Amino acid sequence: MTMNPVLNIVNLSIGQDSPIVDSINGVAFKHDLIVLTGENGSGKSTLLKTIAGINKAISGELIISGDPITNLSQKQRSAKIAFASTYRIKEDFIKIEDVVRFGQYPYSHLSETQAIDDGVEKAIEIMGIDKIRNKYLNQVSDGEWQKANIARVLAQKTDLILMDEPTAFLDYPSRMRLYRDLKQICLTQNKTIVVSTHDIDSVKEFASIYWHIDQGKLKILQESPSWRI
Amino acid sequence: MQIFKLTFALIGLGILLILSTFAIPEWISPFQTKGIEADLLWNYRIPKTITALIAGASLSVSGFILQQLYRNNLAGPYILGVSSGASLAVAILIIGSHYFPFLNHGIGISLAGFIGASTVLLLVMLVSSRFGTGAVILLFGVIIGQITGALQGLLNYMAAPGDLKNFTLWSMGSFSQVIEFDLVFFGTSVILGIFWAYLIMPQLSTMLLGEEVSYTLGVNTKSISIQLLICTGILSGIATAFCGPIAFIGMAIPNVSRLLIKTVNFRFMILVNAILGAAMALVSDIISSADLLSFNIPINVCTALIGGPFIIYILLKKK
Repeated sequence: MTMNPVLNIVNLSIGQDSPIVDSINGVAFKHDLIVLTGENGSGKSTLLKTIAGINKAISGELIISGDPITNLSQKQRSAKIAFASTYRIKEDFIKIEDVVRFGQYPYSHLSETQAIDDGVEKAIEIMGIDKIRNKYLNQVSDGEWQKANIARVLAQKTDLILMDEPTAFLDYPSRMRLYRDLKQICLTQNKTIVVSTHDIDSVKEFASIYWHIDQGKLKILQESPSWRI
Repeated sequence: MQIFKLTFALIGLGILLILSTFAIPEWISPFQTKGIEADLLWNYRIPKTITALIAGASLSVSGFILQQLYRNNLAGPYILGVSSGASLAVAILIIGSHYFPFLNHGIGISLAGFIGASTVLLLVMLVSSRFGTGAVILLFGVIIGQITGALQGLLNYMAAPGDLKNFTLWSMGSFSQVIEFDLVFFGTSVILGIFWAYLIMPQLSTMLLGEEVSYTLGVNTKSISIQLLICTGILSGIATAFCGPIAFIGMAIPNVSRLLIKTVNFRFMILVNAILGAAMALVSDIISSADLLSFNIPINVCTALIGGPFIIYILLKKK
């Protein structure tokens, strides 16, 4: 049996009216950690948001685990693709645990509340944030917030995880930890992760596939792009 | 712990209800069945207390929704110009009532309030989608308030003297003008509006993660935002139509609620806001009718004196 790719991008053009990036082709399998690079404004975020279904593609096809994305409803997509944006909340009435719980929202209409709670507990355990689960978001560091953010997408129980610049506000050691966590999650939790970043140095050790956007085209590289920052 | 706080708030609300109905400005026994005192109790005080209860709940719930939707703790129906929009629509209706007398009743006035409020809410939504949800929408609201105020000033010149006095009193805020059918209609619309908002609170709470993430969790963010604006339009529009534009309750109470109760369970927060909003309206009503001065202090004077310093405290605490 051949394995279906988790994400299959066929001749995709993305952008608002005129394409920023066109004829994108790319395949991602289970256990892949894909690093999406490119200059500011090159279309990294737009690509992630298009895969997540937030933006519409101009043309081309997105196939998620064998299903064209256009055949999936918004609800069905929410159980297949998880997305973490660069939006950082710091409200003083939200706890770390609450953030993780939001991940179970796509399943909140189900009656098996025990199974859902287990998903949240498991995500908290994987990310090692049990000790800070009752802290409010204005009391945690950016690194701890990103851990909660990753735990949230884990609780969403999707095969595909998209993260838009999760390391933007982190210091070097925290970045290394974050990428190590993401790599671990890919391998042990059977996920596919696409993560956009500017931060090629700290990701080097953990990544083997790079999608690099340059001058409106996506190039697939096996090693970190030699690319001036 | 939360339930304990809620119970405590409910007991407080009960005491305020008793004070406002029977004790202020002077005691009237609830067992009085005849005479001028009974008349005063049943036809004036009880409707006034119920009106305050409903108006307070409705304004603070709409304030809470606006603050969460726009992630701006200073938002509220009054400062965003929503109350002013409702006022202007109601003023046009009252002052133009010679031309369309068939609309000059509770339902007609409510409809005008709802339309006025929703129009401004729509404008605020358009402004926020282009310029963000920070200080710009607050300034926009203040300017809308100034413009509608100016237009109302013009309308005053055209008004009959009787209408003018009624209208001026109404615009200072009053809980004592709503009786009989109007009160039932007011109560029913507010309960339905709050219930509708209550149903879609889980979706609103996912928007704490940002609208885009909320969308990828399966929430139809556009539909939810529009539904919430309609709820807010009903709640603040109809409250303004019946009680005049009342300031500070919609802005202050959601902040008080967040200080007291920290939760992402927005259904619970709706209840807390409704109870505390009702309480603030009752306190204002009690101060207003307590005969502290030789006249009844207008409601808006009371809400501003209670709410204003609190908002300043919130502002200064942030820095």
